[in-house]
Amino acid sequence: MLEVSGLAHSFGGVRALQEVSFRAQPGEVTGVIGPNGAGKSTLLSCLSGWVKPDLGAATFNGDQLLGQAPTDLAARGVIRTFQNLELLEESSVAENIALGTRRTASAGLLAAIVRGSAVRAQERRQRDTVTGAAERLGITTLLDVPAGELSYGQRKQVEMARAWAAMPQLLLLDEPAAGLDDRERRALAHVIRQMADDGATVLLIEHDIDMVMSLCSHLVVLDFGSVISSGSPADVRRDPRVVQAYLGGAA
Amino acid sequence: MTATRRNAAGLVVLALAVLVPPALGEYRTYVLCLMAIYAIGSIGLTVLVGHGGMISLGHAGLVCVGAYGASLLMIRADVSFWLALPLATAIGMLVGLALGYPFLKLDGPYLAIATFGFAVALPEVINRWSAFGVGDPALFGGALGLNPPSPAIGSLIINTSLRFWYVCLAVLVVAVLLARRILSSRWGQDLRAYRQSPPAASAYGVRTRRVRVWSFAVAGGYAGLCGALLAHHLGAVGTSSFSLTLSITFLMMVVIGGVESVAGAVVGAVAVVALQEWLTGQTSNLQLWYGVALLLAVMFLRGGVVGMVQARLRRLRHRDEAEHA
Repeated sequence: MLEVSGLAHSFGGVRALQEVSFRAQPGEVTGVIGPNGAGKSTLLSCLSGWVKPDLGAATFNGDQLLGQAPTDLAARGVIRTFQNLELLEESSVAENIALGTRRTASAGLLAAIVRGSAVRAQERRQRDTVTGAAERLGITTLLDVPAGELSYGQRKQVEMARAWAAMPQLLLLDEPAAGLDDRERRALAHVIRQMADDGATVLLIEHDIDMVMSLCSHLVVLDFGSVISSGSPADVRRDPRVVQAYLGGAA
Repeated sequence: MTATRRNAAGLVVLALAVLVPPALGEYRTYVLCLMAIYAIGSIGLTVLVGHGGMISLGHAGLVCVGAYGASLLMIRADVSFWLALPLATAIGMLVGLALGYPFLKLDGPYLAIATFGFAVALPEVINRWSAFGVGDPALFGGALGLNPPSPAIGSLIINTSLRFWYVCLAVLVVAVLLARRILSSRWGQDLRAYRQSPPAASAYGVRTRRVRVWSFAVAGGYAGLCGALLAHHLGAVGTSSFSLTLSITFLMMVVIGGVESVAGAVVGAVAVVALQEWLTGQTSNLQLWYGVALLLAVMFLRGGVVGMVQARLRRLRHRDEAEHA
């Protein structure tokens, strides 16, 4: 379980997060919504080690998350995605997905040179994981193509396959549906659902309200860095503060 | 190219490299040795520049370390040439590590200048060694340089270019196979991930600082090995052989061959040495034509010679598939 309490952070005097507290359960997708500038991405950066918040605590299954380097968090199964994807543009799709398997593989130079039986077994497992992830996302035909040659929708799929290959315990998704068409959104929602069903705690930052409402069992609404509402999608939809701050006429 | 075809092509090149040189004569074989030696150095730079995305203008400095390291081991410590090769590799790796740490925070032009500084300073330290008053003032041989002894296998002394060619070829083959293994490994994947997206690499658990520092060690190891062979090839080891021009020449080999390919590093070394040799036989406008040739190569050979050949083969294969479809 992810437990965030009293998280606060300022960028040069501007309060990006204040007193943010919530919980997210394993096997569930917890949605974080709010208008642009509400602090959603800052929250995600704090939880994944990119920003060290001024105050507060965040634990995952009892382990402290704050103040750890992204690399160390990744090793423990905390995986984030990026709004701008951060794919390896010149590398093949297979090598992109293989990056996801990095946290469960050793990668010393000596191991590379000796290439003993343990390393070869690890390479086989890596190939199987890459193939499996590509099958889940339906991109097996693209494995040899450089990521830079793909369409935007395909690139998003590669990113999700990479996250899948990492077998995350805590998955932090930063606007995964942005720029996708309806069909791609449905496929994406299906994959996120499956990853939660596999036992991951999923935190979903997303502007697509339909997707959030259908996927999430719990919502946290941020506005000006504060939690203004939280609860089930139905409760949040009825909350007048949310209606005023964010959902507006759409609710 | 498929793996089988590539292996077949490699074996053909190897067979030619074994069979043809006896018919070439002393001088041409001497040049071949230089190609192989530079190829080993340029493989190391391919790891750093092509896969790690770090531009080094200091490769000649690391080669210099290997050449002097191997020579001193042979002359002062009576170490055999065969042991001096791996030891020079290890010394190169250590110096590479020693550079990699302080250079961790430097990128792009800053890193290029820092490595340039190393390559400029090192020969000066050697040239002015006697003025420092540390240890033996004649440690580096003064103006005459060092003259490492010729290697031998039992009673067979490696004192002809042909004999040395087979030594260079054997070392080159090992160097190529080792580089391919390193670059196709998880470590090589980490290095490429770091080059293309440091945030993604970190976010998925790559220890980017470590992989960066060790890429300097790999470059240093190959440079050290290259230097040890070059020491014997030159006969007399002096700092003038490791000028800034050599650093840039290595960079050209890597770029002309194709930055991301081990075969490219070898092709680049062969091409640049061949070009230099050919232009030496021409008239006075040598530097001009050298410059023009490089300019054309960089402008029109995207992905280097190897990249161009690969693209050609890919197009041919696609046409085949289209015709059979």
